[in-house]
Amino acid sequence: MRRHYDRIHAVCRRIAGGSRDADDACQEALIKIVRNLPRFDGRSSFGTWAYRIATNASLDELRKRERRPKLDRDDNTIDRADDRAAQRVDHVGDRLVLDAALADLPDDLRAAVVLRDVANLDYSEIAQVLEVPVGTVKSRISRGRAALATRLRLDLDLPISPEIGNQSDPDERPTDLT
Amino acid sequence: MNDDLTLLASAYLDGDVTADERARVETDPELTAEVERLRSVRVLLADVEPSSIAVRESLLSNALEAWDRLPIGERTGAARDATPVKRGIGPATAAAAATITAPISLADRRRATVNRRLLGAAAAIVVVLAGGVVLQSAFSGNDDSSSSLSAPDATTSAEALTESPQDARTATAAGGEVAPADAANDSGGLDTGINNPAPPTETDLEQLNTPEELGIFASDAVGAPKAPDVPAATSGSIDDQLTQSQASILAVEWPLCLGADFVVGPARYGTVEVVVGVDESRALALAYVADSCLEVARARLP
Repeated sequence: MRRHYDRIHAVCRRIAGGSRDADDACQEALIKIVRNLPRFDGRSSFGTWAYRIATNASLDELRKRERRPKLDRDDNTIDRADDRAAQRVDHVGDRLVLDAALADLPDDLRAAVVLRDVANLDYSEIAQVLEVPVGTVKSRISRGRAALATRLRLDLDLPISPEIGNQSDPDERPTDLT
Repeated sequence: MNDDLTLLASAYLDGDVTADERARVETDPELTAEVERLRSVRVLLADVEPSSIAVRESLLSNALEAWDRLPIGERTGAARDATPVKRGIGPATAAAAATITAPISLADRRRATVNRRLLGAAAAIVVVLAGGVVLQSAFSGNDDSSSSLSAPDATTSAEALTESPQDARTATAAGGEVAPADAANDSGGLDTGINNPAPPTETDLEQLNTPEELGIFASDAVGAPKAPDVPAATSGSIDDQLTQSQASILAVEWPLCLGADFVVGPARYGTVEVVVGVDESRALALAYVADSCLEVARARLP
């Protein structure tokens, strides 16, 4: 369990989004994995089996979140005195931008991309987890990546570095936003 | 960029293209740019901030408590055994199933902690004793040298200076002195390595030339699979803990890359010095360059 924890958590983090939801999903997944261990028959690898549980737990967590009542106001309604400053703050929090871009993806695309790029599963393993044909997996990964690339680079004016860092002058950067 | 080209770029990124498709991507600047765009997304996604240690331990602890609450009958895999199993499961998969179907219960974990402490104390005593033996052997080795130097035959003394201590003793005996009985056994029967020729300093790396050899090398290093229904008490044995400790030491010495769960050791693949890691969840042996994590080869564990 300990050996697989990091990747299970990473899958939950990327699919469920916010860290608290991800922790909840991860907890749910770990407990389900433990409870179902006696029924694990080895037909797939343990990782594939565990990631399937983690994926489903994360998607369940998302659905729970959608059912929760929204807070008092929508973020879009916030008045921004200086759009550029607000945009800069957004860019500094690259992780938040990535979370938002992922949240905008349809669940099926997000799960496929995360299982490929975070869990590092191959197409056939992802097909097992999502119970869809391999061709569908390829298509979903491609569309998901393209949508993320568009969301991360074209919807925002400032580029985001692949190393998760902003492009502003180092002196202007806050030390820690997380 | 239309969907087909994006699909091709994405497949290229995953290494799932034919030779023709690969050539097409690599010669088309637009496709190459698309590959780089998708690659940057992959890098961003893969960089997940780890959860804090406190959160991790809390989540794992809760999960293990759930295991402790399971009825004993369920823990032993009775439910799994009742499930019809498809034929043809690979040994690696069976080993993986065997390994994970028996988490250690709370009582066993506590017992294992005590055992680990006792084992640590015993290891410390052994190290101290071994150090004493080594020092004693070193001093007695010096005595031998001085006795050989005091031999009347100057030629023999010169030879004793240039040859190994064992040869020196032989030379001394040949020079007319009777070697003391305990001098021949001055290390008390333990092979301390001091009186023996030094081992070669170069590390002999295992030569691997094919993915099959890589898989066999990793599989041999991982060891034989366990029996499917090992009781919980035996699966958390000290031997297992030692193996985990060794794996941790290897992981400190060489980086874990490409999703490897642990490192088996160094080897030479073709002409490249590589680190061989094992991704247990996918039953893969991975050979990669330690410095750059560049993948050199991969193979299914046999």
